[in-house]
Amino acid sequence: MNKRMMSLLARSLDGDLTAEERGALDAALAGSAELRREKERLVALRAAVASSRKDSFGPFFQAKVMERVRHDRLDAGGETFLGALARAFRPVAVAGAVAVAVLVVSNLAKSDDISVPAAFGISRAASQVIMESPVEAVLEGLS
Amino acid sequence: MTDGDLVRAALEGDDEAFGEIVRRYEPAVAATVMGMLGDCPEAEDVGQEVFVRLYRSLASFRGEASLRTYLTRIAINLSLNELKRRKRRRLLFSMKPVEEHRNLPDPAASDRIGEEDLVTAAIQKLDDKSRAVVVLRLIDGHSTGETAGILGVPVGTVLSRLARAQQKLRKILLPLIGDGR
Repeated sequence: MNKRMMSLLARSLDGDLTAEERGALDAALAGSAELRREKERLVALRAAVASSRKDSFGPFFQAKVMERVRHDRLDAGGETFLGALARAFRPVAVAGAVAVAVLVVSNLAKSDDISVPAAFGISRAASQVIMESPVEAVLEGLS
Repeated sequence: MTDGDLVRAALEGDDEAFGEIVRRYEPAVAATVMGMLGDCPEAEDVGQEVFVRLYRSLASFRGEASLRTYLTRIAINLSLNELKRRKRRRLLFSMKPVEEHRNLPDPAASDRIGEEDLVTAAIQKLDDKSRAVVVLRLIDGHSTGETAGILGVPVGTVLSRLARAQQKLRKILLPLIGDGR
């Protein structure tokens, strides 16, 4: 079968022929039973493919999509669990920091020493005992 | 309500309007996604994702393309991504390609229901690009110009891929469509 006519035949089904090509194809179709059979086969093939179309994903598709959209909106609106936890505990953290600051200022005001142990209310004598004790002795005391 | 009305209402937070968009376009999206992937569990996930992506991009949807064309473009792109993922999974787990392990039904023995299965299986044997053209042109019914626009290729490319795909489908489905004699 003429290769050019086969190509024209395939393209004709997509409406893509010039007037001249259309005329040539029509003449070839009139003169060739084989080309006419080929056209029937192509038309049947395209009809079979079109009829395989599926129009639904199954039941409750719309509801499933809406559920996903709501989840997506929550995520985008963006409060994750950790974010919500941080927000809930923010006042507690601020109150704690203020309490520590008040304690530090109060301890330093009472003490005649300005040092880290003094800021936390540890006397100089106690901190010296802690700092000067040999580690082995402390460990032995623990065992 | 027109598509534009529904989009505007959905943007204002009207869930029912967006639900109507889903109801209205499920058939078009299903045709595209299931044409590309076949009737498989991933198809519904991809279909849902198409509408979630639409929802996220509603604000930037300007109506230059119709909503149907816009959704089809998302559906084709997500389906092609899913096909790539399948290929990666097959490579990773050294699975045989679909063509080798999916037996086509016997065309001669097919009744009406089997006929659909046979055609679907034959479409799945096409390469991804040819399959996209067949789905958009022959199943979704887009014109060759629209198909070219959705895929971002020239019309000539659409026509040549379509011709190649038809030749392959013709060979597989010959017993079904008859030899014309």
